[in-house]
This record gives sequence, C-alpha cells and structure tokens, in this order.
Amino acid sequence: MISTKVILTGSFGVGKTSLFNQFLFNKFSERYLTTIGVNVKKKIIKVEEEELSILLWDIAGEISQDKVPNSYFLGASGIIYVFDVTRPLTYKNLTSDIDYLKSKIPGVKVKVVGNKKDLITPQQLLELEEELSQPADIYSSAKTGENVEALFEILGRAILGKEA
Amino acid sequence: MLNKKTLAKSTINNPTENFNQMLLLDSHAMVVESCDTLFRVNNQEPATVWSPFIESIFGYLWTLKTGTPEVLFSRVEEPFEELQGFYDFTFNSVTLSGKKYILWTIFDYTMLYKEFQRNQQRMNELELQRQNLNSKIHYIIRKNLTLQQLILSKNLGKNSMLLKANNLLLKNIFIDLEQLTDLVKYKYVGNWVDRFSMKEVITNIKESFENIRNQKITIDISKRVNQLKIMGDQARLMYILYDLLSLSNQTSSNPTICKIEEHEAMHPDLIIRFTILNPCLKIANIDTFINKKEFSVEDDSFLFRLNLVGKLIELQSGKFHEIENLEQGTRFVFEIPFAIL
Ligand SMILES: Nc1nc2c(ncn2[C@@H]2O[C@H](COP(=O)(O)OP(=O)(O)O)[C@@H](O)[C@H]2O)c(=O)[nH]1
Ligand SMILES: [Mg+2]
Repeated sequence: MISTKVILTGSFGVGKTSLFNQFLFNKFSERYLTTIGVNVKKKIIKVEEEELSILLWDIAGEISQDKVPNSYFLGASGIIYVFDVTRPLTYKNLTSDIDYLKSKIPGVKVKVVGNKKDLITPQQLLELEEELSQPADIYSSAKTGENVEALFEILGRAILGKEA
Repeated sequence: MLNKKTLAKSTINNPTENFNQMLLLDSHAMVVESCDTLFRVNNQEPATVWSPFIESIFGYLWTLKTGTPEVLFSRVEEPFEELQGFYDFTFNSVTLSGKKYILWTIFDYTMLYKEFQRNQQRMNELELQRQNLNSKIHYIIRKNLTLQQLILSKNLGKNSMLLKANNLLLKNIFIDLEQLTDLVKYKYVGNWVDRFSMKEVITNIKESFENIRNQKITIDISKRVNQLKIMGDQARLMYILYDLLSLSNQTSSNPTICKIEEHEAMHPDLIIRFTILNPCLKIANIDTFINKKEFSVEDDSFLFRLNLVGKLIELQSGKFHEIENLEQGTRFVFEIPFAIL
C-alpha cells in the first residue's frame, strides 16, 4: 500500500483541525482550541479500489508564528490549503501562498478548499468565487461533514495520478 | 511502544533542561538504545516507535548524512497515542562501529507549550473577532450598502432612530516600542535616561489609544448620516481624546470636542473626524510642526510628543487634518477610521 504525507495548511481558525477530526473520527466541536504545532494521524482511504494510507499533518497557522518550520514540509506529497469562506483575509494571499508552497516542495499536489460552507448562502458563495484569485477545488463544511471525504478523495486521486 | 514514566516531577527544577531522552533507531526504526529518562522502552519485545509521525518522516530521516545538521520538529502534539503533551524532536544521522543509526532526542516541553498555547489562543481569538468585523465591512462594500442601509438591515426598524450600542472600534494597535521609535527617527537618544523617558511618553500615548479603542459609542442617526452625533460615553471619550492631545501637564481645564462627524460613509471603515479645542494650549512654533517631517527629542518636547500622536494616528490609518492656534486655544482636527461592529 502506498503511504503518503499530507499537510493541512492555511490561516488559523479556518477549520484545519476540524477537518482533521471530521475526516479521522467523524467528530466536530464548536469550541476552538488553538493548534500550536503539529499533530499527525493516519487513515486509509480507497481511491478506485486502490488503498492509500494518508499520514495527515494538522499544523498551526497562527498569527505571530508567521513561519511554519521548514521541517514540517519535508517529504509531503499532498497539501490541503484551507481558507474560511467567511474571512477575506484567509484567502487574500491564496495564489502567492500556493506558489510558495509549490516552490518549496516540487511536485507536491495542492488542493484548495473553502471551508465553513454551512455559514454562507449559495448566492454568497457565487459572489465569493468571483473574488478569488484562483478557483477553489472544493467547498466543505467540517461541521456538517459535507465534502470532507470528497476532498481527500480528489487529493488522493491527484497523488495516485488518477486525475481525469 | 513508549510508555510514559512516572517521574517525580518535583525534582525537576527546569523542565527545559536535562529533561530529555535519547533513542537510537536502526533502519527499521527499531530502538537499539534508549536512556529512558522520559519514556520506558518496552524490553520484552523488540521495541518499535512506529507511529504516524515517525512513519511519515522516517524515509526522509534515513537519507540524512552523518555530520549534517540535526533536523528539528518542534511542538509535536501527542506523538504517540499513549502520550499527551507537547514535545520537540531532533534527529541526527550517526555512525557507530560502521553502522548507521538515527539518533532521536525527545524534549518534553509540555508545561511550557501549554502556557504558550493559552497565550496563542487569546491572541487568535482577538484576531478572529477583528477579522469578523472586517468581514462585515467587506460584505457592505461588496453589497454597496451605505451605512444607513447597513443599519436598517440590522432590523432596527425604520423608526428606530437610535442605533443601540453600536460599537465603534479602533483597529488593534500592534506596535512595539522599537517600531515606533523607529518611526519618529529620534537621533540623539544616547543615554538610558532619555530612552526611559521616551518610553514613558510612548507608553502614555499608546494607553490613551487603547482607551479609545475600548470605548463603546452610540451614534445617533436621527438627523442624517453625515451629521453623526456621538452619544453615550461621549464625556469619557472626550476626556480620553483630550488626554491624548493635552500633551502638556495642564490637565485641569476643559477641552471641548467641537465636532465629531462622519466623513465618508462609503469608506470600508467609518471615518470619524474629531475636532478638539484645547484652551490651555497655544503652540508657539506651530509652523515648525506643520512643515517639519521628523522630530527628535532634541526638539521641543511638546512637538515631539505631538509628532508621536500624529504617527499613532497614521498607524490607525487616520490623519491629522489641521492644527490651528485660535484665540481660545489650539484646535486639533484629526480623523480616525473606526470599524463598524
Ligand atoms: N460553522 C462552521 N464552523 C467551523 C467549521 N470548521 C471549523 N469551524 C469552527 O471554526 C473554529 C476554528 O476551527 P479550527 O479547526 O480550530 O481551525 P484551525 O485553526 O484552522 O485548526 C472552531 O470554533 C470550529 O468549531 C465549519 O465547517 N463550519
Ligand atoms: Mg488547528
């Protein structure tokens, strides 16, 4: 079985830890507990009958800790860039952040997810899409669980080279 | 697997020192050697330290060359299921009797990082509040709502003229002393006494700003939006503003805020123009202030302080509009954007 390191990144409070917990344990909490470092857990998913073991890194993206330690990125094959659909500051630097990540880890597969979809209306989502400097790959809600599995599936597909 | 040892923590004076464990791992990540200071390595069976964390980096670690700098992973949370807490890890490649190993050092910084986490949490929560505010403003811009529409959209009803406790907040001031002193470019602060008094001046001014920031202001929109009247804690606000601009030690007399007006309703923030008259002041060399860009403590201390206030207003994205000597005293007009809550 292929095993692959995937990193959740993005500003603080966008729902990285919530996506992590929803994906791994189907759990969600309204309470915000700041992540200060890294927490790594593992889950096996199936992509078109092929099993993929995801070693998921939930890392801090907090203010004042402006730089994520370089070592965190070592050996990653996938990155999930999370932003919060209700907070413009979290998607302001979308393109430059992603360019930076790609330059740091050549060949890495990046998926962009707009989280907290449950908090906006379809109309607001349309307006948001116009504002983004590049399109998001998927919109999710760690709260309702919507598109959380789908998110890992599209990333898994990309990592295994099964993209259409 | 590693098991947490029951340690007599009281005997450890400084958890940041002498409180680590070293393990030697072979190519299969099996423990060859361990000093067991923090965790006991199970001796019954070949000890493995395999965990999602190690699994995801071990391949990389094995490519490290002996003699190259160690790799640090800081603030690793719950690295093993049995272990709660925060750890720093370093990894080195070492060669012993011709065989290659990974030397893994574990530092238990749980106590330290828990404190750090509490602080970080407070900061993040504050910043989240601030961003939520901004998102609302962002929404207004996107919708092209005027302030009035916004207020009406808050379901206060057509006839509800008083916007209840509509909080206006100043932006957070995250400036430190270094940054500020840098901004005012003081040149001759050679000794620590000067530095000290400078620090005091800056701290006072900063505090005044902090005070304004925490003011809750009620605005009366009963007339027209462009004639905002600020009610509620107006008196307090007035004194704070006065404090801010009194700049001299004569704090006894009565300043007046002649006018507080909203300036640009469509600006992302609500820009409020303050006019303050300070009857105790007559600035002697007001032209110097207006024409000169940089001040040092060698200058008239009043001008220097005024300049600092100016810089702080600028840091709030505001600006001094006018400073004028009138018969009744000195009049300051300045604008500060407030965020709408
Ligand atoms: N409504 C809603 N709230 C969410 C969602 N995801 C996260 N949150 C909340 O947002 C806050 C920050 O989430 P967290 O996962 O800690 O963000 P992180 O800093 O990126 O790890 C928490 O209070 C969560 O309950 C979501 O999809 N919908
Ligand atoms: Mg988190």
